[in-house]
Amino acid sequence: MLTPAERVMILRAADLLKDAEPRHLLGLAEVAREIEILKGDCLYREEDPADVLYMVVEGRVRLSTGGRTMSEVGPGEAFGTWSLVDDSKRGHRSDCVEDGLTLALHRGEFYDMAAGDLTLLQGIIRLLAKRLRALVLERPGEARVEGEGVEKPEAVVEAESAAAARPASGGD
Amino acid sequence: MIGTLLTRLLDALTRQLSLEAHERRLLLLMGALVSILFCAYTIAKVLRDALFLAEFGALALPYGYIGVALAAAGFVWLESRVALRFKRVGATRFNQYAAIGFSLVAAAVFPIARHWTTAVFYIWAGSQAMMLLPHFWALALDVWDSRRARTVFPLLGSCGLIGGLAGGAYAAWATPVVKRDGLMWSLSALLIVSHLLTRVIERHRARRTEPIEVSQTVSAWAIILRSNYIKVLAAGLALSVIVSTLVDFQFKLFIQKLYPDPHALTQFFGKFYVGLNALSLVFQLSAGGWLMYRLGLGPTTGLQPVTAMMFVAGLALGGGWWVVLAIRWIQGVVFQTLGKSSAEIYFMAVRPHERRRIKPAVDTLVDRWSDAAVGILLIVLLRVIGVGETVLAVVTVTFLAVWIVVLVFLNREYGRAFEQTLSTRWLEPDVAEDSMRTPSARKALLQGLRADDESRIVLALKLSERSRDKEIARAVTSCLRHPSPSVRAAAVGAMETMRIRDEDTAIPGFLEEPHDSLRCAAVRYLLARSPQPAVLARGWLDGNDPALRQHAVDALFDRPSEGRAALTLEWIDVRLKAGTPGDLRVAARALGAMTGSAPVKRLRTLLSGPDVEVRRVALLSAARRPSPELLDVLLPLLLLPELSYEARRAVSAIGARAVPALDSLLDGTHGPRAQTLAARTLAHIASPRAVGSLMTLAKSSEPGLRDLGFRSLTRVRVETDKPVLPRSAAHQLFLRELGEYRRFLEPARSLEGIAAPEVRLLADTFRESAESALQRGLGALACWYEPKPLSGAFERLKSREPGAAAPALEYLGHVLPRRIFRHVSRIFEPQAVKGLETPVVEGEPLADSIRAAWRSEDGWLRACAVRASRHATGFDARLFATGGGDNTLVLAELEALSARNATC
Repeated sequence: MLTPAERVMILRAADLLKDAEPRHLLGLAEVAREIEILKGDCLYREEDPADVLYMVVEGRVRLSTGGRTMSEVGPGEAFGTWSLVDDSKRGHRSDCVEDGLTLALHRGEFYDMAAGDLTLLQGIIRLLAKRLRALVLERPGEARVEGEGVEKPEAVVEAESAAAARPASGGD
Repeated sequence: MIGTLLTRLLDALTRQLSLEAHERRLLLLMGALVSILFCAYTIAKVLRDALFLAEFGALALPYGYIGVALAAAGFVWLESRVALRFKRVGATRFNQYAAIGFSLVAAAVFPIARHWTTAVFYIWAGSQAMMLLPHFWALALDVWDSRRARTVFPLLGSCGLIGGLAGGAYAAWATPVVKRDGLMWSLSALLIVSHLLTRVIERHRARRTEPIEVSQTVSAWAIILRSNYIKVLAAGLALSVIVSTLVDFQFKLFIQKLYPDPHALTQFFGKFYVGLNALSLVFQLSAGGWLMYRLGLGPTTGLQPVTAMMFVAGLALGGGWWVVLAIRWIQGVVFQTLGKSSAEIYFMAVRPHERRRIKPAVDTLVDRWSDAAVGILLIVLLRVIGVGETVLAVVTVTFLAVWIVVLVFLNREYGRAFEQTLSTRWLEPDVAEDSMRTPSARKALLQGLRADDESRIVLALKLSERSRDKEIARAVTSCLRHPSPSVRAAAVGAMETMRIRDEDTAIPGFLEEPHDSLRCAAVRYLLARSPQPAVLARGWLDGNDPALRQHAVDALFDRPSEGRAALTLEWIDVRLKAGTPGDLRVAARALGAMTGSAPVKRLRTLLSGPDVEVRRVALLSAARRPSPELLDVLLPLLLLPELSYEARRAVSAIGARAVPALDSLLDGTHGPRAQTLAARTLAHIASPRAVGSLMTLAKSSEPGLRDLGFRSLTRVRVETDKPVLPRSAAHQLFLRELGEYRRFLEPARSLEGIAAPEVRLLADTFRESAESALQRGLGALACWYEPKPLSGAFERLKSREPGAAAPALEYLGHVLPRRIFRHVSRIFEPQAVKGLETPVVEGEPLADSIRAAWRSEDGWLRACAVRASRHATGFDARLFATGGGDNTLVLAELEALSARNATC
């Protein structure tokens, strides 16, 4: 049986929760469930709805799609993170390749707990916004929302051109 | 040897000022630039004064002041044209090229046309040449934030003084050799060197992150006129210039009598500026920065009028030549050191992009126009009226008095300017309303109302509700013919708010439309505009259309007087008897429009029913018709997540009579959620008794409860817009939490170098506790002070980015008494931060942190400490044997630790 502190440390491994402060994770730690996994167990299939986040405590889990292995997840790592915010199908399957233990956090329980913790929700939204901003910078064309303009304001274009035209800084 | 000494001196300086390596280089470059600029400017001043006095005499100075003002206005206009077309860098270059050009021409023409060259040189030196210095300070303000400016600016000022000293010395002792012509050529050479240095610095600055510079569409004057703070600042600067010009004029009158020979006069001015700059340097390096920190900005600035008063008194009392010179030096030193530094710091409260636009204009224009005003005044007094020097002294004293009053206002506005900067996260409704009336907003609204995009039109219609413009009203009305029902519904809503008549009677036809929101908007509009709304409503209430009936009841709910006339208890009872969810909802809504005690019994029945939506509507009506008799059914609904919000409003509406019932939820027997909800409700009630209950939370020994208490009290402060605690109590609670902050922050920092996850958990928990304590502390202050800027201050103080805390500290330094702010500056000033850091050594800081966590009463922190103790080599775990209590988190960790030790 994991202690609450151990659960919190494991939860911090999840991408979406890594910036959350420890006390805010304590509530989630209380509702997370320990699930023993045995070699050969299938935790979920491709067509299953994504509604649980798993964190590996011990053992290893293989993630695959169409028979092709995508990755293997070991102790201290999380998978199915985005099930907390997205209810689409999994799109891949997970199978246990080494006996162990996982910590599972169901989306419903996550929201029940987060409903009373505005700070936790704000932190997650902030993280999502940061990711979205990075994605927009990386692929602006793909990130465009239908109906919104793609052209930058003229003043910003001018400023960027002038910055590019400035002589490169040399040594002093 | 000298090189090593210099390097050591630079290293010490860098450490003292907490500068990075690349900043040290930049500081050196800027120091060199300001020295050369001041050197050049001092030579220019010596030449300007000596040539003018020799050629025209002191009594002609007032004409010179006026000429300089006109020329300055012309140059500022020209510079603003250049700035509109090019970025700031382009404007700075323009100034430098112009200065170099003028100085070269003057040097070349002076031997041929002395008289006119002297006049033009005087005007140029007082106008265009002056603009080089503000551009330098604008550059410096971009590089350093306000808190570091207080330590760096005096150093830059000192470099300038050294340059001024060198310039004065050169002018004084080289004149017999190079003559005045040679001084003019030297001036040109120095200006060329300063230009080259500026280009180097700009290249260096290009490596740092720069804000996006765009061509400006707003003029500097528009920025100055729309800001109270900038106007008061400009007034303060103008008065300082008026006083110093009057003092300088009287001084030059005095000196001209002593030095009739032009070369001797030039040498005197050279020596005068040497003495002035030398004394300024000594003052700057010794007392200048210290005075600024000890006395604060306001009193330091106030020293200037005091020294000016001393000069006037010395002159009036007929002091000897040395007395007048000494006091003139003191006055000059204070103006040049404290005056300049404090003026630059007052500019920090102006937003950066506005500061860059207005600073050169304010510095030069205010200076020169003030000089011109003095010129006109002196011409009137001396030439027209023919007064003597005594009257001049009285006039000077009068201006001094006015200046002191303006300084008091300026100091107050300085605090407000930072308050605004920290508070601006949202647009206040009255500001939004005012902004809708500007021509650009009207134009944007009209474009929005005529757009093709439906959502844009709907947004423009919503914003148009605040406008009183006729053209906008016509555009709103024309939206009634739009094909989209959403647009038409929004247009009807806007017409209701703007009270526009439906000339074409299009709106009654909307009642037959299938679109629900359009029908709803039409009902509201027709009720609002009808001469007999109750009769109209009765028709809908008794009709066969349930949707229309619902809309009518909703509209009557918002119009209680018509509601009372149209709705009856009999009609409501019929709906209640029908028993369908729709009828019950309509009945619940209608009860909110009734008065008296009769609705209470019916509301009680509806609030106890099974349907959530019916209970929700009944709660809204209970909020409209509050009654303490409903408390027993309302309190359980407060704890239901789906109805908590509406229940809170209904309970708050009851007011102070609900406080005892809420106190029973505060004691924790119903769980933490009930405590939170009860505290929030008490905050909405905001009565003295409610505040008393919340104070009990704020003074609790449990941090979580104190957190809840302060957040709720801050909510009260915001809603009532009045302090909820005495100022001294707020300070006391703030200092308590600040002590907690420091207590938790030190271990968090000491553990920063250790990577083990258990130790990271402990460190992060300490930091989390520290930030909570800081938030509570600022929450305590918010019980007295304005909450909005304190919220902004918290975000900045907890940020780990360098320079982020500066505006917060600036604001707190301004509003808090010195004895309270001292505790803040000890923790957050850069030098103090260094003191808090301890070298990370495995074992010892961890053991100390574990002990500190164990001593706290925080169960989670203790549990993390037990967890982290696995990494503390040599740590004595017998500490955990005592005082563990019955906290489940701690017990779980102790058990795990024992099991681990047993297997080891």
